[in-house]
Amino acid sequence: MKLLASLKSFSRAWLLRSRMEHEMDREMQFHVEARAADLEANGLPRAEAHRRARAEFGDVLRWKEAGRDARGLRLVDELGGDIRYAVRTLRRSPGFTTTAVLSLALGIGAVTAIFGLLDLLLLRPLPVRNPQELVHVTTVGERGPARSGSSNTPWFRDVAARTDLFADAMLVRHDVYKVGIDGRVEPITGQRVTGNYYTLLGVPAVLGRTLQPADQPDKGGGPVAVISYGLWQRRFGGNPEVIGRSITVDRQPYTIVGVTPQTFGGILVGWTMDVTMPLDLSEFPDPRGWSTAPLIARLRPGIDAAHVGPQLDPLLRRFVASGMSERFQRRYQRVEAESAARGLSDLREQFATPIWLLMGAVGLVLLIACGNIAGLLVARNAARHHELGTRVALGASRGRLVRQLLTESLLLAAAGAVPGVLLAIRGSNLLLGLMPPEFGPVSASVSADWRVLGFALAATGATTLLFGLIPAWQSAQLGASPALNRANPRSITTRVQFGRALVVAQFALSVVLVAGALLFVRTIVNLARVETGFDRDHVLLVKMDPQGTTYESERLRAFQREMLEALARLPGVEHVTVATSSPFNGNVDGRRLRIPGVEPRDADDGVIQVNMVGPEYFEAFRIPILRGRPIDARDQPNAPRVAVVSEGFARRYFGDIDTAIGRRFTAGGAAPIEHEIVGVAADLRYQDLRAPAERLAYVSWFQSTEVRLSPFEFVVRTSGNPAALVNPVRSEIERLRPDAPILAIRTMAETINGRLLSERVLAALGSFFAIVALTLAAVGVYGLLAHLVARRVPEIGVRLALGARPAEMMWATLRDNAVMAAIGCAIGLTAAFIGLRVLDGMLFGLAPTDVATLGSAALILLLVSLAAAFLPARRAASVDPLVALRYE
Amino acid sequence: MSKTTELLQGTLDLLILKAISLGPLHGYGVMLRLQQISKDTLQIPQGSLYPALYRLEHQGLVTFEWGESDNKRQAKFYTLTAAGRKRLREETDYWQRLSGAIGLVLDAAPSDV
Repeated sequence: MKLLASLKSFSRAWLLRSRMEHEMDREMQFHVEARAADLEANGLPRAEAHRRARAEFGDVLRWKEAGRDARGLRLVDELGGDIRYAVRTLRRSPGFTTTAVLSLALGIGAVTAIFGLLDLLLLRPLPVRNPQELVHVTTVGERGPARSGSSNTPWFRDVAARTDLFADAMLVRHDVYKVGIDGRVEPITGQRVTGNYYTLLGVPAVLGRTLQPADQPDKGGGPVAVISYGLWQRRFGGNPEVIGRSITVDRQPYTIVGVTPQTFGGILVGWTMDVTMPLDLSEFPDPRGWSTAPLIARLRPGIDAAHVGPQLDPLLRRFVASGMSERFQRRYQRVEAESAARGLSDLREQFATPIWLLMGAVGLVLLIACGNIAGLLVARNAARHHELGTRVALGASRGRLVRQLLTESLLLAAAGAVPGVLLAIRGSNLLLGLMPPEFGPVSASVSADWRVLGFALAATGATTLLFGLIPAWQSAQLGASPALNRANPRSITTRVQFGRALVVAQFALSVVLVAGALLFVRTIVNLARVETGFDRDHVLLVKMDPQGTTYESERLRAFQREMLEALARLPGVEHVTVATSSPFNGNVDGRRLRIPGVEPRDADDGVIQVNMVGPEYFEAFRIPILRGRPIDARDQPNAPRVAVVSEGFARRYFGDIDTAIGRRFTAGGAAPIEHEIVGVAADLRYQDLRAPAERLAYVSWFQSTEVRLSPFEFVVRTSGNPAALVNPVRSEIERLRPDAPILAIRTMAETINGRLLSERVLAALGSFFAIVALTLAAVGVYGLLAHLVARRVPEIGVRLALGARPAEMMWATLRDNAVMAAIGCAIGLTAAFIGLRVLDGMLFGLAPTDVATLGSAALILLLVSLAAAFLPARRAASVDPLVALRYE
Repeated sequence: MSKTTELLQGTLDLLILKAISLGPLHGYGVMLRLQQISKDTLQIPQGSLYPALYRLEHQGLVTFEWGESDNKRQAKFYTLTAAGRKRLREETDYWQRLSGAIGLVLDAAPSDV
């Protein structure tokens, strides 16, 4: 009530300022005139009456000022004055202002951009009811937790039956579907879920209805689908008539029954599930078979997530005991319930560390920028000490001075923050766009929501305090010092010491950044030098995904043969072949291996990675055949089944590569087929550049009886740059078969680079941040030394006049710099030595404490600081004693 | 001129509230009424009424309206709000208790101790 009245009176006073002033005038004038009239009526002469009335009233200006104060306007007045004054001072020194604003824009923008990513992928809670109650119930074994979940229907039912732990539980299957709308088919991310999905999460429909348990096919439900707000807008123009429309999902017709809210895109972070259908629980009846399907549960109130795992362990042991193979048993040792409040994320696993690292790096850059501006402000405020001193003498309090100087800092920070944040949103989406496409189409984006803007605001505020507070406080103190004069030695010494400390800190932080960036650059170089065992420079990969299209069985086989011939005719193409699991394509196909006469030594021996390849595969990749022959055109369905194995395979099972030829093995599950080894190929890096070569078996594409619907690739060997053939290949395929299910066309080099995303981003952004840091540090030390030299001009003049040589003066300045750089390096190297250990495991071919790298970082810093110090040093050497002494 | 008394710190607000509680008044009217009630014993710097009035307005204790004065001129007339009446009651009680207590103390005869 009272607060409301105050706010009303304050805002009225503030918004209707001129009216309030006018009213105040009128009211006081009325008082004086009424008093004068009364006095006149009592017999005073008119002029005397007016004089008396005015005298009795007192100082009108004072009462008006007190009146404004009563309404809380004084602070506003002062702030307004401070801002106007700050704008004027900043405009008067455009060089300083531009430098400060630019470095702040860069710092705040970069920090906000990285935060946008961090928030999207790691921090933001799901937009559902009470997200903190959600857990992902997953199994843990020798390979760690099954991150994407692992379930079957009996397991799900038994877990969901634990109503003492869970209020509700659901199963989810994420996938990419070929969705047909009005005859146009496109790959769309979607999910199949148990019917309680939306009620469990507490997500309503904005149109129509959500799914219900009765929609599940195992409960007799019909084919219905719920679509996302985004898909509704994109493909149906937001038309409310969409309810009841039919779409196809992997060629099966579905009826749309509802649209979900714009904010909700499912529980998989980074992606929007555009289409959601009921899950058929009868698809996973086998308690010994485990499928990728996250089991999400809502905890009963009061149940602790850490409590859940041990409660479910006995249940898992019963499942494991019911006839699971030994190899599987070790993958299902215990149960863990991890919080799903922020959703599930493969990206989180992969990118959490890199993003936190970038956040750290960018934080350091912002700190260095703050250091610079603090240094500049101290120097500037020192130049203003007359002004500040005068203000103190006239009665300004220290708090008042600090407030005014901080206003100036805040203005600087705000001027930097506005362009910074605008760039930040673009920046984070640019980074998001770099996500490798094998994760599927990333449909999420960073937007300027209150979380990001709030962070930017907080960063700006913190920055202001960081760079503004100490200089402001120090200057206010100086200004208040009674011993105020031009050459107060004590105050100057503190100021210079503060400046040196800042420069040393900047040097130290820069060394850490430079060392970190160098480590990643060298990692990338090392990875690029890794011998992959195949030619990565002249290969184009055309990824196809026939699932859910009309290309199946014989039609698919015919399509493949047709394309092999058509692409081989294109100019610039040397070889064309087809394969399931080319290196680094993410498509691994592990099968059970049996070799007559060879006893498996461990569980690992029982599994082999199989790559089905067409003729000319080894020629296309330039993989050397060490013994025997490659798979070629003669390996047709009617010929004996053949295989080529890798050198590692041969050595592992047969001891050496010569005896491998002619041996037989079977690979596969239910109806294994025996293959005869006809050749041995050189080893190659298969899916991971850091891992040693894997054992591989190549079997003939066209000898396989079943035509599998899994993704495959056409491998095109080019004589020139493969990137030049991307468009000709695509148009040739689409000319022949417009509905060909092309997923992506990329060069082999791009594919490998995609696997090195976090390393490349860290190397590139890390180097960028390191360069910015070095530049800022150089500017900082230059500013400090230039200031020192300028101040010492008279002293240098005296020394020169007394016979000192100019070179000595130059050395003095350089030595000053060298001392700061050495201390900075020492602190920075110690910090790097300890701090950069977090990079362990992300580097390749060198340790985080690599001496050469740390040494180079220190050397780079010394050189940069030397370059920055050179100009002030030369200035010191070129002082003319006559001019200097006259100046004094 | 009769004997005048300087105002105790902080009591001006109470007096203004009291004056206004008897009916809407403009600033000059407040001064006249205070002089009239106190039989000219209180000396109030005339201009100081206005910051006090604005303070009361800011606190939501009084509200105002522009109206016509006796001499047919526009003047700002203040009235008490509900909160203002409540505050006046509280302050009056407090003041009476305080002045009663102080009176007792000052009137104390040696025999009372």
